[in-house]
Amino acid sequence: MNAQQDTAHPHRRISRLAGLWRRWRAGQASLPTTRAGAEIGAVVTVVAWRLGTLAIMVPAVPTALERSTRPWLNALLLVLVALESAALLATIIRRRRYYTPGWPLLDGVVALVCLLAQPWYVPDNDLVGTWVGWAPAFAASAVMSVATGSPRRRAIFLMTSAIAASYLVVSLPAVGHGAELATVLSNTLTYGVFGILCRTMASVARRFGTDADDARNTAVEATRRLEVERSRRLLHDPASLLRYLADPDLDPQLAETVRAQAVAEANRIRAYLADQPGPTDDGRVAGRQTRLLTDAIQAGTASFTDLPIELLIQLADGVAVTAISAEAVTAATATVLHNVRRHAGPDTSVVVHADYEPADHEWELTIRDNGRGFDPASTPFGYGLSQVAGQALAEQCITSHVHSVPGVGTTITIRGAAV
Amino acid sequence: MTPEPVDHEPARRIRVASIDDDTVIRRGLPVLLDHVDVVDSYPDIGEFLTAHIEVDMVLLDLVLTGTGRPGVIQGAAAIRELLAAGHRVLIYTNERRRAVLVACLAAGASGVVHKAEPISALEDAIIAVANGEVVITQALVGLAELAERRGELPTLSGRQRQVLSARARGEPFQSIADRLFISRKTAEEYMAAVTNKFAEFLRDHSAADLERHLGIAPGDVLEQLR
Repeated sequence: MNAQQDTAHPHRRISRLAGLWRRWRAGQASLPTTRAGAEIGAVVTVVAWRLGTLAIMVPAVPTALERSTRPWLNALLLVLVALESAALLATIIRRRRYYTPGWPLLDGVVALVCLLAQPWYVPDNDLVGTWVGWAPAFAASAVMSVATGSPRRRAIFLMTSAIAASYLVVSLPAVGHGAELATVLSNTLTYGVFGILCRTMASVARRFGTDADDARNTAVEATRRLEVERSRRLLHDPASLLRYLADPDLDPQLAETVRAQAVAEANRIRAYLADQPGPTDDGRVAGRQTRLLTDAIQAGTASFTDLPIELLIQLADGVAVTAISAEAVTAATATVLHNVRRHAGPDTSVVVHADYEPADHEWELTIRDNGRGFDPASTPFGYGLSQVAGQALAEQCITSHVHSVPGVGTTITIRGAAV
Repeated sequence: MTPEPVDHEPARRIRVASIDDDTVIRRGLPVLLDHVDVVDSYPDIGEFLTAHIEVDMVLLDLVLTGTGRPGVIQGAAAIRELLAAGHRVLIYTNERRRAVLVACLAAGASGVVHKAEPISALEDAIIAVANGEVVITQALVGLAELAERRGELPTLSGRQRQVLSARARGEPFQSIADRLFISRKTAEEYMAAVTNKFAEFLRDHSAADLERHLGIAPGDVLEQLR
């Protein structure tokens, strides 16, 4: 995710970020993306820690300067820390992210300088466990900053190790001047623990953010594909009708049937364009409603009066399916019959047979024609068979199988569970 | 669904008479049928019975009112008249209503062939009926399956049930034979046994029973049998 450049005035940027943070905490605002949100979270954490550290240092500054062995050096380093912190915080607030190799390195180097210079401006008995010797506390803040902001694990390890080692080297002389060795060692380890914890938390947050963004993008893409698929399914059967209507030699008897179908398809497309919710638009409602399987099959065959269809569906009398499944069955039946009309050839007859097996709670619809047939091994299924009669049914947990033999005919077997 | 051609040739040519009110059918059948002899054609039952000719079966149209003659016998009554005169009856019709076709078989017809089917299908049906089989349409195969599921054809064997189920779905005999690892002829024999038992079932039950067992609207079959 690229950093968003904000050209607004700095204090306005801060107030905008603070407002966003407040609304987000109150659950009233969503972050632009979850990865960007994780970056803002890192910025907020670093800013808060650094400001907190500086705030804690402020009351000790007069005493530190008073007891310092070289007050001018102490003051110089305090100014350096303040300027560097201000620049760092301003930069990451403006960028709304803190994931860059440069600034963490600079922050760590400043902390190292302050730590290593301690023997020259802090008396030995103030080196450990006092805010007169403020550099170790600032170094802890820097470790957190490096671990959160640096994208390189090696840099984090080296900088944290360097800070811990510097603290150890600088603080060891204080042992025997009021400081305990155990305290020095524990404080040294604290840098390592801070580094690991901050790095881990920042990585987990960023990973969550990235994964959530990926999931969101996948969902958007899936929705887009679904919409495209819905459009393709909607237009598949009308395409066949248009082809017939465009034929100047269309049999007048067939033309009447095709025109009636065209009117029905036009209404369906109009409803789609008007965004009127159909059974498939509200899966929750459609999932609860049921329809008779035989009604769904008859709806699919109703417009094909030009085909000699033998409808043998009495064995499935009374079998109910969800409304959304019924719609898929109707669409699949109509699509198969469109294919018969278009490809099976003259004198083709069709048997539409439905059966129900109470023991398995499963129904079966068979649509068989004795037309030309085709070789499934060498002839890929068209969009109608693969998507309308295949994928759309599969989405409702209804299986479909196409069996065809050249010169013998084609059988489509559709099976599903009754409600 | 068009019946598949049968592969057996009768020992002698079969003699049939046609009773149809359509002149084109009456004149056309003798020309179109290559493997059977259409001895003569008549516009109604009365003329045929008066002629006293010897035939193996009668091709009977169900609707004979096209000639405009008064008092024409047709439908189930015509079938019963022909049976009483000792003739086998094969219905040759455009009629597709199941109740009507059931009533024809219940009245004693040996089979039904639709006029929309190819001439070869008619010839095959004639040969099958001449061999003592019953020929039924796809719609009636569906009804036979329904009767079997409702326990009305209890004497069917397992194989006969399998073949009936496949035929009800429109599966060709050759495909059934390949799937069940039997010969095509055996598959056809299984189906012939099924249709004979179904025809017996239709003849042995009252119209009300048939309507109830086959899910046909009350009164429809009875109406056709009157």
